[in-house]
Amino acid sequence: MSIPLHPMKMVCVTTEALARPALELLLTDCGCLGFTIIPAEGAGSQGQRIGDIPETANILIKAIVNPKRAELLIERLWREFMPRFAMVVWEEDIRVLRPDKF
Amino acid sequence: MTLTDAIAANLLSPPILFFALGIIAALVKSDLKFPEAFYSALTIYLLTAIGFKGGVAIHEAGLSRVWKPALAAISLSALIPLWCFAVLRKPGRLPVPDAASIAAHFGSVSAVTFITAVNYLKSAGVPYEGFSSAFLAVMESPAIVVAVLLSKAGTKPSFQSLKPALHDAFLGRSVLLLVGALLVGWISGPPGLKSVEGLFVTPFFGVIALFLLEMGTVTGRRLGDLRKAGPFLLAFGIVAPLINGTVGALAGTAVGLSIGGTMLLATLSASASYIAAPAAMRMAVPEARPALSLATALGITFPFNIAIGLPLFLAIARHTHHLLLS
Repeated sequence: MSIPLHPMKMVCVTTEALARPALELLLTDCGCLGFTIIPAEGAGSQGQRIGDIPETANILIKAIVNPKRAELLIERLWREFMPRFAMVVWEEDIRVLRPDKF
Repeated sequence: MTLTDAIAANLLSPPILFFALGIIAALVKSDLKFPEAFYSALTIYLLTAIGFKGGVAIHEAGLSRVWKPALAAISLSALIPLWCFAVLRKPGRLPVPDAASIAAHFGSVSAVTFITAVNYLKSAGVPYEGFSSAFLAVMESPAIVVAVLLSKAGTKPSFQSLKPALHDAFLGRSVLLLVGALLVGWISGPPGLKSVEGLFVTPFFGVIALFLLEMGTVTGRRLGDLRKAGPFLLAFGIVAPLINGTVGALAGTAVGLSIGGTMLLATLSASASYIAAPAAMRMAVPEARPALSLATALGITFPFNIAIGLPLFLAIARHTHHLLLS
């Protein structure tokens, strides 16, 4: 029996933890049914991002959505969030089980 | 004791030595690191304990003794950003967003500086009004509101655009915990304090030492950002607390606080926020560069205040009392 995997997009965002409430609203607004948020640390083009206190903490958000929603989400991130927050956004092609959950 | 002796004694006290140890740990890139959750837990403990004890003190003193100094504290918090903004804009030549953001940090207050000041007064044997933590609670928000309005000067800010900053200014975790714990302490009074003193009173000063160790590492990791701040902000980080502290001491004396209470109001006026203000300004003025304000507030003003400021503000409080009351 072949495993029923379906193509889907994963939108990933690393950004400031302070952006979290606004981002959660955006994800819901774009029809995203679920997402994962992970505390993140690392370095970028502007140097190390220290995540030792909540005020400078960083997060990695992963949201699995269909291609249409992914486009809408990325467009709004680019327009509404990137001018305000330190942020890296990328999209990955993935395959999922149970596509109705996304 | 001369001022030099007092500063030397303060530098050799456990909290300041632990703070220095934390800075050294960060500078030598030691792997010493508190988990973020532990840092948050310590913050919650310190804010709850200080708020609760302040509430009990208000219960004992009565609101009639508290309102006048509290009003002075609110006014200081609202007025300090005005002159800070003007100085940062003109001689400092900083853009409006950065000037407003830094003004918010300096008008708002640092709870850890306040707690270290209480610890300092206790060890120096100087009595103070226990309800002073009410000043801490009311001084966080006004500065943020004033600075956000300054950043929008020339435009008509809508309530919608100010909402995230107002939310952080009045309902952010530090203000909510402080005001909430003050109310709990005020309602439960001295019998309530007796039932929780095992947690909130006895271990308090040990926890401060531990927290300052962590603050040392947090500060040490940001010392590199001072290069971005430049000489003007370096000087501002020291001159602003000196001026604000003196104004705070004058106000404290004028509203009838004791020397200890005056010193605490001076320290609060001199301190710069790094909890409520950064979050609120990041939301309200996203163009402002957070590295500048955090490096100045945490890298310069905070160490200056706890190492040299505390004995200095006590001496200034003694002078203002002598000057205005004799």
